[in-house]
Amino acid sequence: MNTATQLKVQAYLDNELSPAEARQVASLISSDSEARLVYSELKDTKEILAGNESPATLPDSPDFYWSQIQRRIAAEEKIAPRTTPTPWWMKLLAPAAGAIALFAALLSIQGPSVRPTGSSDISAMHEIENNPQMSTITFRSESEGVTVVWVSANDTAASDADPFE
Amino acid sequence: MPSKIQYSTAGDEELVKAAQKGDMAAFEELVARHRDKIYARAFSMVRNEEDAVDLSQEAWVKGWQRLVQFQGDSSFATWMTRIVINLCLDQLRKQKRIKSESIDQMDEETGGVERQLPIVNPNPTEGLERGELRQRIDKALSQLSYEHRTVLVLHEFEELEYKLIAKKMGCSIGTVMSRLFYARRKMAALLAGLKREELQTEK
Repeated sequence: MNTATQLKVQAYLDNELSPAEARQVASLISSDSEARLVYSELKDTKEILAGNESPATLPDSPDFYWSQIQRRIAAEEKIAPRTTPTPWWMKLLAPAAGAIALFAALLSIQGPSVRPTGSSDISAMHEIENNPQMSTITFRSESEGVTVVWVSANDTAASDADPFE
Repeated sequence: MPSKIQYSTAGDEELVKAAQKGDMAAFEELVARHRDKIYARAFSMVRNEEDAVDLSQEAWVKGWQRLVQFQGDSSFATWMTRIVINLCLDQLRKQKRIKSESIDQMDEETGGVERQLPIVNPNPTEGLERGELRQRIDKALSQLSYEHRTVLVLHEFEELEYKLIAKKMGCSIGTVMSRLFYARRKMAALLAGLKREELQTEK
């Protein structure tokens, strides 16, 4: 019996085959003594293991174990506070704040007016402020007399709700 | 945070809700209820007490941090078990034991010694108390390489499908099938061998 067939016998045992394949393998097991032996060994092993995992005992005392967890939580929270879900209205706040900031920046234009074409030379601009915590970046172009404040959403709630992902 | 729930009698769901709001005492109760299971899963994968304690504690820290994301689609215990499994897999990947792995890899690539093993009937339940049987299984498990043990643990004890195991371990379904086959056949041989050893000792 080749490897592929042996693995199919195992997949049959684990209910991992399509109904058509399962019928084929069932037929093989009933007609082929070698397939039957492999199936029998795998099945016995599976049955022996089921419900017979050794219950490991925690070596530490429950109080000590918990105190260690508490200490680690406290240490972690100093570095990165616990995540909280962002309310839906907070998500709308960031773009709205961006638009307001942009509007405010345009109002604060001093000197020559903005080019009517709107094709400002980005290379002439320089970053004058970058606040990563607030997710805002401010640019100032002296030649254009323009200040632009870029505000972006900073969603701290990681999307790993399912720890399996 | 003030809470009027009776921690010892409250259900997991109620405790989770309280803990999500920052109630550390509710979380402590959850830890007390499930610490043994989480530790046992870590130990079954890493086979080292110190590492298992460390990883299980790390899992609880992560659980606390991510608790707000727990939606209750699975039970809390299952959710925590998945966290600890992920941590163990990360740890095991970091600690890859090159020597044993190269042997196992060669086995898999060349068709595997498991395919040359004679078919055996482990039958270790014969005349054994459950505790003795569990000890024997535990001893045999510790003799498997971590890849084979992990596949076996995830499939037989966590009852995960091939596809999910492959995803977790970052390998193909074919590799999972091959490793599981190897692990089962080797377990059968080891259990039969352990039984023979015991019979010889008794003589």
